[in-house]
Amino acid sequence: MKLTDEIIKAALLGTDRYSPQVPDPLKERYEAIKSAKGDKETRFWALAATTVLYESAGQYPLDIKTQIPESPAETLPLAADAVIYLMKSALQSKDEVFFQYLIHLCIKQGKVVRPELVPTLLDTALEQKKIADSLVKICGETGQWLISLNEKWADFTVPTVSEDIWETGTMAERKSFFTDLLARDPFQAIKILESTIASETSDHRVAFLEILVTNLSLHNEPFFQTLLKDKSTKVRHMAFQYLKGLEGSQMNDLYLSVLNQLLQINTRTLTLTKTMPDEAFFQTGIEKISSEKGVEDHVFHVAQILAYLNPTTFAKAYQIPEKDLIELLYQHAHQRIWLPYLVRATIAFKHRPWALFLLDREEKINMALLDVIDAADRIPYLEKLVEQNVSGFVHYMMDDDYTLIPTPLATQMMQALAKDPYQIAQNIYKRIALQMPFEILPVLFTIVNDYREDYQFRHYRNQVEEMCRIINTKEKLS
Amino acid sequence: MLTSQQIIQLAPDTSAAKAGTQLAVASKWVRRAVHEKAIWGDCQGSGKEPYQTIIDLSNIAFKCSCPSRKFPCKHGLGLFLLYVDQPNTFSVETDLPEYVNAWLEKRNEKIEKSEKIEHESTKNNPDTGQQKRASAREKKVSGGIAELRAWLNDVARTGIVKVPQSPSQFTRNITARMVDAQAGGLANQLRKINKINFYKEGWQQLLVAQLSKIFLLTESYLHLERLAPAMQRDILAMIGWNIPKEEVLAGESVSNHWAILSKTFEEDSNLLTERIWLYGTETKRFALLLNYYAGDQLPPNTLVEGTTIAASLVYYPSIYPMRALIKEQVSTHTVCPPILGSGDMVTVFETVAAVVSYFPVVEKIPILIQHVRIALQGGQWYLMDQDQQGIALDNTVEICWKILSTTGGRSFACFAIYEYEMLHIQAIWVDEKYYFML
Repeated sequence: MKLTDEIIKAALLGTDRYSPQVPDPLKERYEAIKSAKGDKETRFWALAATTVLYESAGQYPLDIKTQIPESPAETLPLAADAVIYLMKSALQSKDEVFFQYLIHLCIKQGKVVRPELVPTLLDTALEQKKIADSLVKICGETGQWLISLNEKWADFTVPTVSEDIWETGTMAERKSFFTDLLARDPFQAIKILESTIASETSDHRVAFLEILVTNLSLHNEPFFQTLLKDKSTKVRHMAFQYLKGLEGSQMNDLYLSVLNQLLQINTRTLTLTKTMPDEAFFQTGIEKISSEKGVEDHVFHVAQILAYLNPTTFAKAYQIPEKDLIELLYQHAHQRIWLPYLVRATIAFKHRPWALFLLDREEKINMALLDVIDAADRIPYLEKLVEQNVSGFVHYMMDDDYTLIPTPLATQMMQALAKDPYQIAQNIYKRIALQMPFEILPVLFTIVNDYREDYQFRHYRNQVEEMCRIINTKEKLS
Repeated sequence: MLTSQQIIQLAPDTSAAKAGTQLAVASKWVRRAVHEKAIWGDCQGSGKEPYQTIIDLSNIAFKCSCPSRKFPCKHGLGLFLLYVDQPNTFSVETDLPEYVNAWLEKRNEKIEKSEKIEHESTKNNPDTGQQKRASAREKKVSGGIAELRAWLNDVARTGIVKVPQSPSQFTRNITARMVDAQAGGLANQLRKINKINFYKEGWQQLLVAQLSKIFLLTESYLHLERLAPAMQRDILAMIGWNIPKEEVLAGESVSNHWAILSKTFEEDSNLLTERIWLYGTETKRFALLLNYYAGDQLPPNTLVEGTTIAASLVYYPSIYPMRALIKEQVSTHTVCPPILGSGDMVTVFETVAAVVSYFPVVEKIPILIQHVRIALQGGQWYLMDQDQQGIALDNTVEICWKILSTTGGRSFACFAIYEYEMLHIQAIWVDEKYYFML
């Protein structure tokens, strides 16, 4: 019991309703208070002040029964002070572009942040789920230690791989478990998903299917067939899409056989036959009536099939070299109708020769096709893209690995941006600066030292100055 | 020389820090020069003429011709950051340009002039008009104190149980009355009641402690003649009589290397209170620089926590001298080494008991302690010594986690403020490195 308890009680109720008992050690002092002039309330405050002081002057430390275990030593080296300082500044000024680069840098260099920054980063991870994994990673052992101590950060606990997680874990833990299992033992992964899929929510079904399709094979066909009757439209749609493009599946085989009826190739001549396929064909989601103005139904049916056929399989089925096949299709009168579907197939099946063919023939660069070809082959097309669509080029070049843009291309990009600097936003200038080579600086300095005063150029110069600062900072960090 | 991080700490706000960082690029400056006394540069801004920025290196201060009211402005910060980062981009000058020299001389003159005024003012006796005004004020304050005591009696009679229902109403009228009665110190004491968290168990103790302290101040004022002269000055200051700076500066100065332990800001009713805690590395004495900024005024931000300055300080007259003024700053910042205090909690409580026994109305007691750990028990954070003897912390939960992370649960040294039976950690040293815990 504290000496002030009686005072508190009287203070709460009021001295009209309660007179405090004077604590023993203060009885003598209270006699002196009583003998002084003053009313009851004044005496109360005098007693209260005396008691509070007496108690605060006679405090003892408390016995603490618990002790927090010490953090384990870091297994990775700490990031440089400069990185930590810049990370703090970026967080303070909400400079997400540079903050994310610094995270990338830590991961790339295999380093972790200094412990004082860890709680802030874990709190940031709670707010920014997209970068949460990276943030937890650079928090190192200190991060895992703090996560084990604070419930607020419990979601970041690294799940231990066990079958129980599939039954009892959080969705994040289950997804992580399923991804691991799929990589280690695809048959077991399908089996475990089949056993519980009926009881999963539609959102969870979609989430697991999205993981599954990254590693799809014919073995999965029966499972996807069952999903064609799923009560969720989204799940049914996903199942249809996967089966249509799955080489060797019943649906994909059906498409190839229908195509045989509609399209014939004889001695390098492509002819079309006007025929209506069976109803089963349309039940797979193929549109029966052409939705393209002026396009006959059978031409439209061919187009739709083209999107789902692997160019290699397609060419083999018609016993014609792949290059000749694309040439024939491209030169056909219906080329403009078929082209988008051919592009889709080229991208879906990552068919490099067709991608190169289409990039060479088409005036406008399709950025998705660039992904299909080798990085070394991309340069001439990228040079073309800069001129056609500099904003598209910038967005295409931005990647999570902060790959450096070759100096000639970067120079060309800056020249294109000078013509219309508002084509990209300020934060994009900052972001792309992180992928600019140090060697670009002389080019940028000529822009900085150009004192043209029109509003567009002033804006551009400001962006370039900021780019110079970023490139310099980045160089120092590396 | 300050580090980049320390320069950023001088920024008045985040946006100035960000803009300053962006200006730390050589290409932004059409002129960059350095001399042993100053750095100066011309920055091409949006105006026709470039902005002229100067930094006094011997006694950190900034000057810029830009129209910004922030201090230091982004140009000052940018130029300083650029110099620290790329000193070789600055031309080394042996002579100062006229405008730089003029400013530095003006600064020196100002310091000398203020010292002269201080000296003269202490020689002059107050005139009759001043005496009349002082007497009128005393009357006003006495009237205010009588009202305050009547209010306290009402509170005692009716009880405080309903205060949490409308805490702001509880002290509103009486605070305003104290302002009218020119007892600003008492008004501040009443405002502290608004900072009590009435949703948290324990508010009753805090409220009674604060009210009884206000009672004690009024009681001390009524019996002022019975107190020691130094204590009388304390009571008058806490009621609201400011001691003129000139009078303080006329006092005996203490020259020392002063570690800047912490710098905090508190904003209330458009008034910014800056508290800078210092520690004399040779005298082993604490000092508190307490500054107030009203309205749009901004602090000069020239002292950086975690560094040391060589300066002479003058303490305000007090039975527990703590508040001080810088009379002269001789040299700029160097890194602050760890400052070690006692190694057990019992000594902390003994210090508290000793201070309370001769200065019962003490507000904050600075504490240095080492070999301590942070602990969490029953949802409350504690600081405990090697014998697991502890004291509750009133830092925010976020700061407690930051302390735990920084120390890794291991023992550390710290600087803290004792108030209301709790400690507020302001800075820690881990592996000899200083961390400010804001």
